[in-house]
Amino acid sequence: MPDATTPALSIRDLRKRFRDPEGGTFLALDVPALDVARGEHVGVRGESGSGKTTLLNVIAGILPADEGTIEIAGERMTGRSETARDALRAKHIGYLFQTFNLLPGLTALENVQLGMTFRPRSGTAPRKAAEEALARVGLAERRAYRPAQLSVGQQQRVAIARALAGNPTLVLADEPTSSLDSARAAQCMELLHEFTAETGAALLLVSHDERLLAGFERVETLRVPQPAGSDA
Amino acid sequence: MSVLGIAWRSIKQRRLSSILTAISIALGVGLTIAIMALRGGAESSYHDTARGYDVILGPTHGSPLQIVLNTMFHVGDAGGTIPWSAYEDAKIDGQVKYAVPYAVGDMYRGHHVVGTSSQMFTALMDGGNVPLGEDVRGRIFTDAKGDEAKDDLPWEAVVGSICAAKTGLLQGAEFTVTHGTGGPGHSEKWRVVGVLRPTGTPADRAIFIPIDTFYAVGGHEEGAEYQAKRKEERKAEMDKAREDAAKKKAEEEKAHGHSHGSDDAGEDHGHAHDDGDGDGEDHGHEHGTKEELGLSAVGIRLKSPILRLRYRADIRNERGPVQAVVPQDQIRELFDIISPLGRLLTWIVAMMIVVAGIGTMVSLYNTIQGRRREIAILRAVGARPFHIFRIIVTEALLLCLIGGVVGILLGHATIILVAPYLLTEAGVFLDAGFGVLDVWILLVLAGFGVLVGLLPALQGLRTPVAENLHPTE
Repeated sequence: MPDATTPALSIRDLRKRFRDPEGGTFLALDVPALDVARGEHVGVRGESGSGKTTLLNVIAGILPADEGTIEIAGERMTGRSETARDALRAKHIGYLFQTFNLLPGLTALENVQLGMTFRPRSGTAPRKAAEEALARVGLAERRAYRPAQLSVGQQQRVAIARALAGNPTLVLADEPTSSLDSARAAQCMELLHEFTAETGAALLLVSHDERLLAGFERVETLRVPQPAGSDA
Repeated sequence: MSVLGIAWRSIKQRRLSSILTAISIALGVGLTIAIMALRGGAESSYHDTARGYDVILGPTHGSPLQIVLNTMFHVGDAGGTIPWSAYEDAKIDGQVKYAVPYAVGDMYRGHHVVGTSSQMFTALMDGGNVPLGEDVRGRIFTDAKGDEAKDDLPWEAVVGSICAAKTGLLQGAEFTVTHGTGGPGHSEKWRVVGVLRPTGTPADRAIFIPIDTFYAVGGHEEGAEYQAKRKEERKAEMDKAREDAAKKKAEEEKAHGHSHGSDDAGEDHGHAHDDGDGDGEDHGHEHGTKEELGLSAVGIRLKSPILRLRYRADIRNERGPVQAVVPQDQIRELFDIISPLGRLLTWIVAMMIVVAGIGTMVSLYNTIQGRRREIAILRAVGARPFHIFRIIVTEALLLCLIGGVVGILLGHATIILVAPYLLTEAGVFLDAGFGVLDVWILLVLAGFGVLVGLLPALQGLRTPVAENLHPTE
């Protein structure tokens, strides 16, 4: 049974292949081992093509792994059906995207609520939790605004609130400040670290920006899979 | 936020497309409701009215349907006459509860003037089985005793509610009638003593007068079959009479004191009867000619509807100039003829809903392509495939139900708008109230909504998440 000492994330011998245009496959991701403790903030650096986004998608269960195991808070993500992976993602993971991925038809508050709609109910009512999360990122007054009515920085703060509302076990962040200028990026990262620490969630952030990774207590490097892994 | 909330917001986001889709469904539903109400209203109006009498006695050579339409719906011509004795016989027949005489042919500003007895207001009922004579503003006319002089007859009239509203014939008003539509006018005046409550029956459009006053008006032999034969004979007699006694004839006509105001009234209206010396009255009309002129029809209410067949057989066995027509049979046959057209029309309109539904499906299906990122985001934040399926099906369901509710309101509004016109012009009462049909339409639309949402929903399920979330490195 998972307990408080169970890692938020545990990866062993993870591999992911994609089809290439010639009909063969190529190895897109190769992670021998990676553990993230609960509440730990880990940065992952990697050059282009090293599979940073793929790593997050496989951890989140959006893409199935071809080999290896992934456990989120002690629950196995790999080897499950798509629906089961979706359910596990909803239960444990908050996802912060490079392009924010807010739904344009929803208000800021509704976008934050959306993050909890498919999660198992916790003690706090979703609307109240969403309002609290939005207030925490300083956008309580903008709750009724649609994404198009918000600045880029505000959109990213709404995205942070969505990822953290409902207290996920693990927050995955994919180049979350790439759309922001350096000043706003720094503010955003500060907010992300603080908010994640407050909720007790573990944070796994991938980026090629060393300035961003400088704020992490631990940074792992993702290497481009070796050609030997190619099956083409 | 629930799946319903997400679906609703998605509909709002595609406002124009959603409104157009809902309107197309609403139009189909509205038309279906209006047409079904029209069909139902026409059928029930006709059947309710036809239930007024068990049998109608009419001329043998008249079409049974024509007899029913003329007697009960005040439409068209009588098609001939039957002897007055048929009415007298019916009155004393042990099987008959009510025998109501009808003599028609006069009009007032497009409304049929019906000579009848006051018993008609007891025998005939509205759709709620309330006699027509209930709640009359004023009173029902008085029947003549049968032996009065013309001036002593009850020149009274009861007017149907719509006729009163259209013509302004209210209590106390006096009016004269014309013979047929646009025919010569009669000088006799009737006074309105009562206005019927709105009954939703053809009686609303007619004027009713004591039958004896009908016969007291000169010229009513015209148009009657009997008189058609008599006219030929009379013409020959009159030609001879003109040659022999032109002066005397002129004096006689003057002595009649007839004031029809028509130069040819004397000839065409048959006022040339040599009756001036018959009863010694000054009114110059042929009183007592009802035996000679006959009736248009007699409405019969039997003591029990079971007696219908026997009574008809009795009339048939008499082999007289009278046929017994069962109104309900005639109306049923009429609707047997026209109802396939009504059904076809309903089907055509129902197909409009199907087409609108297919339009909803195509619209949703096409939007799925543009919503791949939205679906991917929903999946990324934890939505399972069945959530996506439910969201898209719920959108189709909501569009169909919104269209359905708007269509139902539209249909009933249309009924409310056209009902007075149909009641006035066709005597068809349309019920604009909401009913079981509306619930059924919503239930069918709900099922239909789920059905048209299936294909777009299945396509939504196949949306690859990672590819649409952001490009894979």
